[in-house]
Amino acid sequence: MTVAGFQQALADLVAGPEVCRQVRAGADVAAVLPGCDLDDRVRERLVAMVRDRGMTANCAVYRSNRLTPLVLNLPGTCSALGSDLHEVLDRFWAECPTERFDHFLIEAERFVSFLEAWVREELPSAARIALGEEGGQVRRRLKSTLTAS
Amino acid sequence: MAIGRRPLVGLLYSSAAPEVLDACPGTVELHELIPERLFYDCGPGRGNRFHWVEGALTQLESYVDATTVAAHGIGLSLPSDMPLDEALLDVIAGVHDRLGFAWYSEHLSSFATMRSAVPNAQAGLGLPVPYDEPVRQLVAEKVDRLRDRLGVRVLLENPAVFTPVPGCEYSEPEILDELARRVGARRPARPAQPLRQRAQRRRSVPQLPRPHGPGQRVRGSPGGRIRPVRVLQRLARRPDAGRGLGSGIRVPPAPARAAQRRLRVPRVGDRPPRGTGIIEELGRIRCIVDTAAPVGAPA
Repeated sequence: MTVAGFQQALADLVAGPEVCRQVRAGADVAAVLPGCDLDDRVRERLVAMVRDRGMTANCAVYRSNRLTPLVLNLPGTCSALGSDLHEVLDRFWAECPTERFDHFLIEAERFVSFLEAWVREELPSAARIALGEEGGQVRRRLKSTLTAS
Repeated sequence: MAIGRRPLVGLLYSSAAPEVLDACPGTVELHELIPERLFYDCGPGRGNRFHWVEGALTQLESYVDATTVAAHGIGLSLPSDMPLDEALLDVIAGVHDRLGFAWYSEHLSSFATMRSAVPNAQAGLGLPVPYDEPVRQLVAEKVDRLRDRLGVRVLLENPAVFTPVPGCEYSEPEILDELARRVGARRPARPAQPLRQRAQRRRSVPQLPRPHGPGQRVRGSPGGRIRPVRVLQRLARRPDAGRGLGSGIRVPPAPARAAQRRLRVPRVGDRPPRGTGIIEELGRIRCIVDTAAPVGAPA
């Protein structure tokens, strides 16, 4: 068994509810995760874990954790997006897959850049205004933390 | 903690802790801190990776003085099949030099992979790991390195798991026991710093290291001492509080009068201040400790 392959595949599954749904529907886990080195034993384990109802909790906690830095630092923007927030987040997390980020402001700035570059024209006016204000604050705070070492 | 020693009343230090500690001075005897909350980590590969949270370490020191300090790390991801993050370990060791950890704990779950990482929020998601021999070896090697670098006992916290990994070679107790047995009782290469030397080490904020290049996999020989941490269920207000626990020790339902005086909880109007519940709980725990500890037991 390759430990790295298992760990990478599990991380990708937790980050991808749609991939989990495909595996639950019978798709080959190695086919939906082509970048992972998976032997038969790892594949069996992953399929069993994806079918476990606890996988839903894994995915929810993952999304909650990725949402936290955005809500904390861009509350007005998230609020103004309203029911569109779900779709915007799906697109953001699809475009910006999991990266190591221990710094909430870096993740928030990444979301600001995503909104500015990809969906700004589609945003409701209230969200655009909030993004302009909060995005600027995030960048100023990020800059100050990176210069105060 | 050895049987017969008096337990300590502990608190996880956070940004809300000063308010609580100000309200009940002397109640908390052990502070557990998360070193990663004292600095910003911009991630490997950035030119200037680590940045201190301004004033955080100094404020922390002012509250933990003359108490036991332990650290609970969240960033090293020991079971991950990747090299130990030596740059992060350097920073943690700098905090240890300043504060003198009594021990250091980490998770027995995976937060990071070579290609990506699960967000590591304070209540973050640690992924379950297969309790197999390759993982045991990975963890043992990193625990060895950790012990040698910090010079203190390393504790492993078993994870909360939503999806257990099926078909493992070890059960959770077995892999913890195996880790403890195989790494043995070798003394750490660097002895722990006694508490009284802490003040002498407070000269300046430790120097943050320059970023490291890709690290080498740690290949230390097993021999460090580890100790498993079993997550205890929260000591919620029990319906049987005030009744005996079968050991002949009576659990007080509320802080004793003397402890209540120490709490000095200020009240503004009808709204209790933030942290009131924690303050009351700490007082209650202190009473339990004072009541239940064997007479004359050392702390």
